[in-house]
Amino acid sequence: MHTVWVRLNAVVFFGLTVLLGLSCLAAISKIGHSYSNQPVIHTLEVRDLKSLKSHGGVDRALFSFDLHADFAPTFHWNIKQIFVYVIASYETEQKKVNKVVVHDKIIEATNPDKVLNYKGTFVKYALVDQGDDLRGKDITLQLLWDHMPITGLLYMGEQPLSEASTFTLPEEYQ
Amino acid sequence: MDYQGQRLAELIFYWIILSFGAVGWVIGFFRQDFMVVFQFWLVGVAISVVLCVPDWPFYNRHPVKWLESVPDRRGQK
Repeated sequence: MHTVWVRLNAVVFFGLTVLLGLSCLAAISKIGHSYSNQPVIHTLEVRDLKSLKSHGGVDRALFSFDLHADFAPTFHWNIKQIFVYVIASYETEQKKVNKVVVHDKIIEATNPDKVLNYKGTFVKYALVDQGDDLRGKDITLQLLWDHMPITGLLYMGEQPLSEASTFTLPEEYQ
Repeated sequence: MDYQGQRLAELIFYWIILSFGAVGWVIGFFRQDFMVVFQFWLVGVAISVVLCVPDWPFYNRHPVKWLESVPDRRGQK
């Protein structure tokens, strides 16, 4: 503490230690919040199948969907943004578990409108199979979300599969 | 800066940063905005840097009193 540089060092690093403590307190204030404050999902279902085609031996489906979900309840002062994504899952003979992300959206905490309301929105990413097994398959659409906090742990939430909607792809390419 | 001044400087920045941080955290919590916490903390650190880093006169009120220097024996001769 006898020279300017030693004092500057002491003040700045004591300050950073205090900031770390404040960040930890903010993280503690979020414990349990993400689990007990789920978004309200009104609808998530397919609207219209645009195409189901084979591209070089690989099946690709394009469709539009409806989504109405309110994410306002899930926000917290220690959440920077919420990453929302739609997963299409299905089962084939060779591969029992297939999960394909077909749409995503980032809701920032600074955005006042935290309701997602899509009507007939085209998928952002096509539903592409690893092989040619999409025809006639039951596709389940499920909504998932990640809480991205300012400080603290990431939380990943998902719509219960019992509330997810399912549609069937046609037997023939179209 | 004398020894008493160093102790005083340390106490000053300790309490300023801690109290600005604590008050900022509580206000930020009730206003649901972490930016408020960060701004309060930044103001506390800035005030501390101005108050505690330069060698202000009030840190030099207790100068160290040294003993009189021992006369050189050879010089006495």
